[in-house]
Amino acid sequence: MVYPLLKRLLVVISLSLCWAAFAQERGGTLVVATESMGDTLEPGIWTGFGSIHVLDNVGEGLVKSDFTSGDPTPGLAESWTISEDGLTYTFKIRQGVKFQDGSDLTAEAVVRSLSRYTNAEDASYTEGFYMQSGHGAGNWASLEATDASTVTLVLNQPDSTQLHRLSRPSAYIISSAALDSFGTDIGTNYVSAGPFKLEKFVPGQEATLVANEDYYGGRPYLDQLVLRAYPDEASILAALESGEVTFTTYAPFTSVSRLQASDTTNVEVGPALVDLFIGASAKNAPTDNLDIRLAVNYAINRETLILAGLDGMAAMPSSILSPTDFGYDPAGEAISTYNPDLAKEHIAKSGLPTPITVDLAFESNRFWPTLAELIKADLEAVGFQVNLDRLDSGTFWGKAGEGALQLSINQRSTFVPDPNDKVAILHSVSSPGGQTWHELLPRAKEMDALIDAGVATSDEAERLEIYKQIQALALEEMPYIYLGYLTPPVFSAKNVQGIPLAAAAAGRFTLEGVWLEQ
Amino acid sequence: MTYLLRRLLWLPVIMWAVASLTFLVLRLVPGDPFASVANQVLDAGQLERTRAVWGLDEPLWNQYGVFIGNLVRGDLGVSMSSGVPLTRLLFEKLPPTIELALAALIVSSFIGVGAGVVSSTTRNKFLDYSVRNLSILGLSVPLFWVGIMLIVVFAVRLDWLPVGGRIGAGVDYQTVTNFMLLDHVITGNWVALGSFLQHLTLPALAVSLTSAGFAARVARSSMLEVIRLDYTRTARAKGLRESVVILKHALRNALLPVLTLQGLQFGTLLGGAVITELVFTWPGMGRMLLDGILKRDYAVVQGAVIFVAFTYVLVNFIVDVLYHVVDPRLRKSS
Amino acid sequence: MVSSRQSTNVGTVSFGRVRRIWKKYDLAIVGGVFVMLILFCTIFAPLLTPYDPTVNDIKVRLQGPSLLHPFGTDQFGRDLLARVLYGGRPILLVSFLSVATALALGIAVGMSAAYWGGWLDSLLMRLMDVLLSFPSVLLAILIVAALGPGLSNVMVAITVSMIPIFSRLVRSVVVTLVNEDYVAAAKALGAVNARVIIRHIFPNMIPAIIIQASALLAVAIGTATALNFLGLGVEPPTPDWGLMVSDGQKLIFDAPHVPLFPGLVITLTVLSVNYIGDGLRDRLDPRLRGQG
Repeated sequence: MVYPLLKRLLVVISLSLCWAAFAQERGGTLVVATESMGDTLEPGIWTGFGSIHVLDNVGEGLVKSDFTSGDPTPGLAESWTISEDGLTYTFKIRQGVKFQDGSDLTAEAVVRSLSRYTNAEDASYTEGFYMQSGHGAGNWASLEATDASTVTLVLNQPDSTQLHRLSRPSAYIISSAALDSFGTDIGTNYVSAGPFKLEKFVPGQEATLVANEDYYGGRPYLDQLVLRAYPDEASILAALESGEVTFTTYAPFTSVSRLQASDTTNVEVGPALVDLFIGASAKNAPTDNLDIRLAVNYAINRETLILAGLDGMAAMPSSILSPTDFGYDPAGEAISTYNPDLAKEHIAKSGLPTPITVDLAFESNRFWPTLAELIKADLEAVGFQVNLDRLDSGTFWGKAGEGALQLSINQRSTFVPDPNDKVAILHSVSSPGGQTWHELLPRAKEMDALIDAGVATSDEAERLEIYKQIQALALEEMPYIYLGYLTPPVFSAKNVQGIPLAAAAAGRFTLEGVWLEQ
Repeated sequence: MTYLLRRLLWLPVIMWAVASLTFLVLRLVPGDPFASVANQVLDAGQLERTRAVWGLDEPLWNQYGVFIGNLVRGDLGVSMSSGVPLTRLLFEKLPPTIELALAALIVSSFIGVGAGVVSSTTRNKFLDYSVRNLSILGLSVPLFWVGIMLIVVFAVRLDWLPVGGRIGAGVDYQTVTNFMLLDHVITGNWVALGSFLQHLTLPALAVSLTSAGFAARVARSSMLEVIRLDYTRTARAKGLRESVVILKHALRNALLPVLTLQGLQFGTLLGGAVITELVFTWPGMGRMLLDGILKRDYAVVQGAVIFVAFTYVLVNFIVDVLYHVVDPRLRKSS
Repeated sequence: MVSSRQSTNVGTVSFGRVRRIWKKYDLAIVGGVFVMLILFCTIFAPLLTPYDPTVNDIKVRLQGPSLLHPFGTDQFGRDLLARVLYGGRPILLVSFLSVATALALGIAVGMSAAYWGGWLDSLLMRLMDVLLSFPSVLLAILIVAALGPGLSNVMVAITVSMIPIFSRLVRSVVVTLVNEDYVAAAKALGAVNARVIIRHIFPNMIPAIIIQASALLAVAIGTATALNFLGLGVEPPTPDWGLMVSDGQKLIFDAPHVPLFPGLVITLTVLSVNYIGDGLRDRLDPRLRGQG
């Protein structure tokens, strides 16, 4: 009589113990500081990294990108096959998955979500979407739901990066029901099938997310995730110090060493995956002259720049790809030598009278102003006269689009872990203009051919050779003058565990694996 | 009565003048205001509409007519950089700034009157001296610096109060009027109210210091005026503890000038709020205005300036009315 | 019989006289001394420091105060004391010039309005009222937003925001005086208008103007530093107190001396100007005579 009761009691006790062991990992709120938050989460337009961080946690696409291994992994598509000629992709959609509003994930929903950017009939369509070029839509011949759980994508040209492209926020699958009910307001009421769901969105300010209980990968550990925009590094630092913010990649670098030693905060330094560079416009004088570009390159003291502007959080650069990228070739290291005499020689060769006036544009937040000041000092020491042009991101990119810039500082990380993501900005057809107007460079066609070849093949050896040539060509024509490879520090409270370091450093973090030690 | 009526009739005129001046000043911008704005977010249709509102190709008179016409109808156009209608932005950003300025008004009145009372009634010369000097210090310290100091001391080192923002991260609340005090009381959300008040404390304190300094001085001198006057009279007439009576009388007398001063100070408080909002990440007009300037989004700058000025004009008017209602003796010919 | 409390003469200097002046103007004197000191340091900065405030020396960056660098160094290794000394120049230049210009223009406007009266008076004063309907910081920001960032535009902005205050003051003083009997008498005697103004009205304006100017100088310094803090005024690498505080904000935990010293200096300067203003007001304002 007692035995079955005792057995039952034992089961209950052991189950509770198991539950208790995991219970300490569950729950809690993580407050993330971002440098900005868009007025809308609409993925068809760019509204800053803050929106991307929200989308990366609420949304999910057919494919997920692993920043550590560099491989595409199954997302909402549980498997796929690619045809021999590399043109047809057949995706098997995961069964039994529900969107955060309870509706079902179907092949139809996938097709609709990916086609809405170019379908004027869709309820959520507004003119002016352009982010779809990122996920490759310009190269799609057809996209169809061949049955309830299969989606077939046919490309015009082979693209070895297509799978990774589908992990971009613009390719996340949005609930059809939500698209119907919210229409063009989907940007403030985003619904997808990711690990967290959007509970509250205050445009321009913050987004509150809660755990998606029905996430197919299992409920995330955190109960709540808040992403809040702070106007500057000083406020982010203060919030981090006081414990209001428990995770950020935007705190000032000047605090890294102190916080690493503190017992309330953790700082992990990410891999060298972000390129920092000066873009030199081939459209405007004086930067259209190669000698001027080379002069700028040799005039800059990168060691000082990295120490004083980035508090050591960067490595010396050598090319357009960084050490973490597939295909990286360190052969170009010599380009980073500080050689003001050589710079002056190039200025003399250019034939332009000194002082040469040049505008240096940069964004007004984070470390850009500091870098600009240091660069200005270096350039003026060899015969330039530098005008600093401090802009906000929107204005910066507006001017870039019009070709109004001469020298401008910026960064590029791989949005997805594929080298094409970094070199594609040099393609004259798919990515003209920008900071460099590289389509005007003498060997632009050669560059285009190389870039196209890089995505056309998936043979690793071939790709290695192609990217080697791309890097060499980029150094010869110098549309970008490299400043360093940023090693982004990731700041978190001591009790935050499970942070995806490489992804966080790249600015594409999904926090389903994060838990708080109680 | 006629005075009040005249003031009431002048109100729209002043508002019209404020809007017009803002309009004029922003047309001084060299070049095409749209040249700098990112066209990435505005689609072709929105860009056209915004250009139409600004009507830059038209002669100035036409532009002005359109502007005033739209203003009267409550259409302030859309933000040049995000396409969001100005009215929506104002609904979101104006109430926080007003909240901050009002809170600073209240805090500075309390501090000011308190300090004034202490320094005017104490026999301790040192205390009097200290309070007077602290008042001057209060109105000398740069606002942004005070903000930074307060954050470091109270929010980080002591961890008593939050670092920034208007309300705690993840606190659930509903928006009705977007005046958080009202909203939280209406919805009975005491948790949110508590969080909001906590977040309001440091910024309000920072903004209030300047006016507190002024208020303290005025309170002190008004009280001294009365105290000296009454001391001789009442000391003999009443057997009660003269000090209490004098104090009450003096206080009552001091309040009026202090309140008038505070009303006049509201402009300074609004300006101060604009600066302080940046340091405290307070989501109000300050941030909106400065972002607008940085982005060369003149639509936002125009809307922000006009509406903060309108607020100031309205508050001045209310203060004036109250003043004349409360103390008709002091009505002066303008 | 000479009381023991009376002064004793030592040569031509009388201690008692000095003590009386001190008692009368103590605040103003302290403030005045400080302001003189700050002005001196700012103007003669090159003589007071061997360091160039715009030259970087990365090796010594972010050092705390030491013998070599009394205020420490900033994130670029520049000597902070040198930056603070030079950093007063933009602020003080802008403030003094703005007040002086606003004063001159305010006198012109106020006197014109008061003297000619009628529709000119109404027009001018209404215009001044409109300007006063803006909170002054907001007006300054508006003007800088339109004209673009830069020190000269900051000066224009601050000047414009202060003109209405001076013109109103001047006008009310003049209006009061024009009604005074002696001025009426002077006019009756056929004295030329200009002479009436200069001889009789001007001198009576001076106390009020001095008081207002000193008060507004403090405000001007505050507004100028705020505008520079917001990034709307000078640009790096020009040393400027406001800009130094805003750049140094994020270093408040790691290298607090960087934002602290400029902030202290701003406070000290404004405080001193306020002391001068207070001291002058206490003595010059007839309504306040007899107050403690």
